[in-house]
Amino acid sequence: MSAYTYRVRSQPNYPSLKWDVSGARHLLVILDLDTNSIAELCRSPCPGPLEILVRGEATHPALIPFNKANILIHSFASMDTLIVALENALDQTTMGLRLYALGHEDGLWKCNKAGQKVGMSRDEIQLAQASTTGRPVYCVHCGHHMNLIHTNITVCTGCKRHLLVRDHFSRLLGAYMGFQIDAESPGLIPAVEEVFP
Amino acid sequence: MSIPFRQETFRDDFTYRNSAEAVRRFPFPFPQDAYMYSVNIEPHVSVDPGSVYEHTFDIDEHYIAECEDRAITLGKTKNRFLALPHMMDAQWDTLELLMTSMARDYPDLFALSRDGAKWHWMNKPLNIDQHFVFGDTRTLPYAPLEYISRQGQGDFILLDQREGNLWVDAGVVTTQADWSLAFDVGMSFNEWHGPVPMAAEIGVFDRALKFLLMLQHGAPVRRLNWTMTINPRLDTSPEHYDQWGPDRASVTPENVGAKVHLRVEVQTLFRLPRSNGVLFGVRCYLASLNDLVTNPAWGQRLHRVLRDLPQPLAEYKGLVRYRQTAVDWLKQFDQSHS
Ligand SMILES: [Zn+2]
Repeated sequence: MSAYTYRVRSQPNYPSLKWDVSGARHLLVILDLDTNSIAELCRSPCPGPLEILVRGEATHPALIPFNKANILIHSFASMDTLIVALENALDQTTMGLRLYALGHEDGLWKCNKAGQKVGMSRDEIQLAQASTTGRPVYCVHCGHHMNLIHTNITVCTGCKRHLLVRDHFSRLLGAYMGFQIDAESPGLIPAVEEVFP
Repeated sequence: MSIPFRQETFRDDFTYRNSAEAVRRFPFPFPQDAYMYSVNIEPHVSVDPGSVYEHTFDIDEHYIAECEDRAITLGKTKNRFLALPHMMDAQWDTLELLMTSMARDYPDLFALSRDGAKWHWMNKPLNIDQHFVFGDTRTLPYAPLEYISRQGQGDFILLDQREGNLWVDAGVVTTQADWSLAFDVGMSFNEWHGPVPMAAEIGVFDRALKFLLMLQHGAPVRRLNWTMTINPRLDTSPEHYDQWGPDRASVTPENVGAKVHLRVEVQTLFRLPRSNGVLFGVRCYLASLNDLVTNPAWGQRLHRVLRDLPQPLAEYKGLVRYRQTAVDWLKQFDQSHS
């Protein structure tokens, strides 16, 4: 294995969110309050009933574009409670529903998983990365998941190996692959750099 | 046609060896002196009696030892067999295809009798005598795909077809060239091949996918792929990279002929009748450089292919650390040095 210089086709790219006019209802999950992304989305009005789940304060200035009487905003203190609320919201019918998620990559794929679990298709779910490119990483040796990894090399919190973070991405696991960087030459660890700010 | 099965290992003391006959029938993968990635798909039809292409699933002298090695891997590490829930029909399709093919092609080794859903399977080399009900998982000791894969050589991957794509939704993967089923399960065809350099740019996988979506039941296809492995190790999985990675640094001019193995995959693809899925068989053949140079034409050609292999492919295949040592050693078998 080696660090690749070409684009790996399993690596997701994230276009910015756009209201899907074919949807009858819209559910927006804001994992990270990113003022610019929200402002861009709100340049056009949501074409139907909108409900928002947000991690953070409902009074945050980034949410001002949504301050309208007919928009429900539910606020959550943690990722875990937000995802549970999302799963509950999706438990009802998803006919005509469009799911949008905004924020860090780990959370995006948790939202995606929740949507897929209730049978939503790829084109009914939009994911947009915001606030950080910190990566979720799956250790291929011990199966441990880590989150918000900002460096090219990280120590696995499961097995303590030094892992190179690849671009190869699993949508099912919602993570990039990490594999031992010094397997062929034990102890030889390249410089650690912040590459996913 | 009785096959003299070898007692040998693919790990620890690595007692795996090829007989002269196994070398003679080795699927040497290079039709030219230079290698380029290509689709190179052809119908999987029986040709050349005695060759690895004679039977639907080739059984050779390594059969018992390979099944033993697979059992070790499946017992030691989890997620080497995986199947998403919607793949059950494809699992039974695969069991049927393997049993009927093996019993037809090797009647002195395997036997299948069927009375409706009541099946009786006999595998003489592995001493298995199994009565079961086709379609009833409770009548087998393992899930159908795992059950039959434990009695086959090579990996078996099941692809689901939907949304105009193929999805890696099940498999038994213990003889792989550095890819992880646990990580790749659920991927689309293109995501699965995401890390392959150059091939993507020249559209190889897009064309292959288009072709495979049209694959017809009863008209399987095959292609060859290759890489190199240090020591005759079947389980070169990313999971165990820490175990086999150091081997790459162990190649010297003295041991290169015995240690460096050409690893050839005969890949076969079958449309499955009930599930409309695709069975992707990846059968791995290993031959040391010492084995290969007993055929002068192979020694010469391998020297040229390895010497001229584009660097990105050498990196992708993990050959960088020992390629020069192998090329230097092979040069003595390439008299014209062209
Ligand atoms: Zn680990």
